[in-house]
Amino acid sequence: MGSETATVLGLFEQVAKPLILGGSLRPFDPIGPSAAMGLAEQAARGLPASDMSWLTVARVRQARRLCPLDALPDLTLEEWLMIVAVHDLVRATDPEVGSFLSPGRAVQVMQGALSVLAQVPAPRDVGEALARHATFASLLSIRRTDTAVHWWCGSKTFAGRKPPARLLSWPEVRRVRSQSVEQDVGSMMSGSEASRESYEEVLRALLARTPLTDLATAGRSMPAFQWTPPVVGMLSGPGRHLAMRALRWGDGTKALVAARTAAASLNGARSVRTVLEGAIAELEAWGGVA
Amino acid sequence: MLDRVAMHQTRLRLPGLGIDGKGVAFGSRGVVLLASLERLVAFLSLYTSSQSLADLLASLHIEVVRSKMGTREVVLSFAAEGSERMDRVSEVARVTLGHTFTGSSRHFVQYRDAGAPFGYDVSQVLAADGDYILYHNAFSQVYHRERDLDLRGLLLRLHPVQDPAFGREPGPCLLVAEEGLGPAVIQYLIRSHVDARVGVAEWPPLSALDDGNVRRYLFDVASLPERMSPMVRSTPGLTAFRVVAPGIAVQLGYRHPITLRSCPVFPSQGMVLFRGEQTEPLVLDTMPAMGSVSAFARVTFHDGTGLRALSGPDLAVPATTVPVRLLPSIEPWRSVRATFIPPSDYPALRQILYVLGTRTLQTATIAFTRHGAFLLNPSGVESTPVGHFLREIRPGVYVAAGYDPVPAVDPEVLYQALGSPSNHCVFLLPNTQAIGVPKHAFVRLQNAMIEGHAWSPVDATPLEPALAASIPRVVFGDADPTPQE
Repeated sequence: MGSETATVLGLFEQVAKPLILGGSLRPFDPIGPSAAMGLAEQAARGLPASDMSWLTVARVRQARRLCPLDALPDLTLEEWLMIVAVHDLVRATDPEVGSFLSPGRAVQVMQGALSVLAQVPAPRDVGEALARHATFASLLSIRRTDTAVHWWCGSKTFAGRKPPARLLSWPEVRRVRSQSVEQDVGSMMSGSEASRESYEEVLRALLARTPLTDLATAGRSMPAFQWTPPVVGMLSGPGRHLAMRALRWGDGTKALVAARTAAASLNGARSVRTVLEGAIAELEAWGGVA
Repeated sequence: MLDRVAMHQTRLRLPGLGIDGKGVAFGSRGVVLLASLERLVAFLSLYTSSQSLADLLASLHIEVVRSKMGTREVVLSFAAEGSERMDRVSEVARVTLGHTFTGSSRHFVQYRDAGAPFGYDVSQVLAADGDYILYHNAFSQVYHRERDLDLRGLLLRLHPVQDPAFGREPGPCLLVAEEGLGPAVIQYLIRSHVDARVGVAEWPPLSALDDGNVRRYLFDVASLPERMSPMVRSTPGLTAFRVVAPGIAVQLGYRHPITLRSCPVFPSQGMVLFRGEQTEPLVLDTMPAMGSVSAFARVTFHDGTGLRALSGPDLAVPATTVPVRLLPSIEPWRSVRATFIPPSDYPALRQILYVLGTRTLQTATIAFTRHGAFLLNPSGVESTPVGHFLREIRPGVYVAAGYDPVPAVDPEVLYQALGSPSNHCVFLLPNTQAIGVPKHAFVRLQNAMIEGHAWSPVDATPLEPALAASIPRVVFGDADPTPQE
C-alpha cells in the first residue's frame, strides 16, 4: 500500500503536473495495465485539494481558450488512466527501457498503454471533452533534449539524459564534441519499426479520447489527423462551436489541409460527409485560405 | 626728598636747572624713565597717536640704562626747549607709568606735577659718576648707559597687529607680488582696466644658500576696486599694502602698534613695507623704476597676414610707418559681435550650447581654425559667454574687446591696411598675429555643433503571452539535461 501511494504521488508530481503545468516530466518504471486502474482510482479520490489547485487553475486556463468557463471538475478516473498511458508511452521512448535480454520491452509497454486506454471511453458530453482537452492540451508539445557526444574514438547519444562528466572531460585532448538535439513527439521514438507503429497507435488512441485536443492539433505531422467518431460527434452535436474553435486554434492552413486529407480518405455515411464538408467550408471561411 | 620750587624762587641747587618765564624749574634736556621696552612702545604709541614725534626726533636719544642694583630701564632724553613740550611728554609718560625728569648734563630732577606746579629742586646733590643721576620724590638713582636704542630699528622690529578694519575701504594701495606671480597680476590688472604702475624690486639674498637676489613685483595701484580686495588679501604670494606715511606702508588688515605717520624716521624716497603674520618688513632704500602696467602688455603684431600688408613693398610704405598695436582701453564695449574661443575653452562651449536659445543657435555662425574657433553673431555674442569677445569695428574686421588699435586710425584705413580682404573676416587679438578666416568657413552654429548620432536597429522584445505555459520536457534518470523553461 505504501509503495502504491508513492507511485501515485510520483505519477502526480512527475507526470501529471509537468504535463499540465510544464516542466520536467520524469517517468519512472512502466506501470502497466494491471496496476493502472488501482493507481487511477487512488489518484482520483486520494489527492488533496491543495495539490490539485494549481492543476485546476492551469486546466481552466487551457479551457478558457475555447470556452469562457470558470471551473472544471477535478481529474476524473478516465483522465488518470490516460495519464498512466501517457507515462508508459513516454517511458517506452527511453532507449534504455529495453535490454539485451528483452529487446521488445518498449512494444510491450506500449501495448500495455493501449490496454489501459481501452478502459477509457470517449467523452460522454461536451464538458467532459473540454475537461480532457484542458488536461491533455500539451500532449503533443512534449519535448525531449538528446545530447550527442562525439569523442576521438566513438560517439553516443544520451536521450533525455545528461552525459556523464567523465565523458566530457579533457575536451581538447579527447576531441570531445557535444551537441544537443531537440526531439518532439514525432521524433521521440527511435526504436524499431514495430516500436514506432505502436507508438503512433498509442498516440492516436490517446487523441481519440480527447477529441478537442485532436482537433486543436489537426495540423500535426504525426500521427496524421483522422476524422474519428468522437470528433465527428463533436462537430455534429452541441459541441460544434467548441470543435470549430479548436480546429481553428492551431495553424489554419495545416489544419485545413489535414481536414481535407482526412475527409478524402473517409468512407462514411452521407450525413457524416455533409458535416465534414460544412466544417471544412467554415474553416476555409475563417482562415481565408483556398 | 625733593624741595618744591616756590613762586619767584630764583636760586636752585641742582646744576643746570633754571627757571623759565613762567617760573617753572627745568633744564635744557628732559628725561623720561621707563621700566621696560614694552613701556617704551606704549609711550611711543600714545605719544604718536596724538602728536608728531618729529619735533623730538632731532634731539631724541633712547638708551638702555642700568642702575647700581643691576636693573635695566629705558631712558628717553630730548631737548626740553620749553615747559609746554615737557608738560606733554610728562602727561604721556605718566600714563605709561614712567617718570619725567628735567635737567642737564647728568643730574635730572623730577619734573613738575600737581603737587609742585613750579617743579622740584634737590636738597643735596649726589656725588656720583653715573651717566644719569635722577632725583625723584620717591627715590634718587644713578644709572649708567648700557647701549643705545635706534628708534628706526625699534619700529622695524615691531610686528603689526591684526586690524581687519585697516584698508577695508577702497583706495590706493601697493601690491607686492612674488616674482612668478607678477606677470599674471599685470595681465589681470590690464584685463580689469585697473590703472596701476609696476616695477620690479630686488632684495639681497636672505642667506648664502640662496641663488641670487630676491625679486618681487611692486604695483602702485591708484584705486584698488573693492571687488579685488578679497583676492589680493587671500592670494598666496600677493600682499597688499596701504601707504600710511611717506615711505611707509602697512599690509591691509594689519596695523602697526605705533602711529608711523608721526614718526618720520624712514626716508621718503624709499619704502618700508610692514607685513603681517610675524614676517619681517620689506625695506626699499629707493623705489624701483615704475611704469604703467599697460606698457607690459605685449600687444604688437609681427608678421600678421593683414598687418604685413601695412609694411609691404606693394604699398611703398615709407620707413616712417609704424605697426598697428592693440592697447588696453577703458572705453565701453560696443558692437561685440564675435568671440574667439581657444581650444582650451571648447569644453565650456559644449556646455553652453545646451543652454543657448533657438534664436542664437539659428543666427550664430562659427568657424574652426587651428588657433581656435571664431563665433559670429550679428545680434551680439553676450549670450555665449565663452572665449575672448571681439568688437566689430567695420564689417569683416574684429578687434579684441577692451583694446583699441593704435595708432587710432579710421577702421576703413585699417581695413585697407589689412589688404581689404573682402572674402575674409580678420580678427585682431592681443599677443598674437592677425588671423583671417574665409567667410565661407563659417557655418551655422546649430549645424556645426550637433554631432551625428549613431543608431542601431534593435528587435522588439516579444511579449510573452499572459497565458503562456512552459512545455513538458521528458527527462530520464535523475539528471536534468537542460534548464527548465
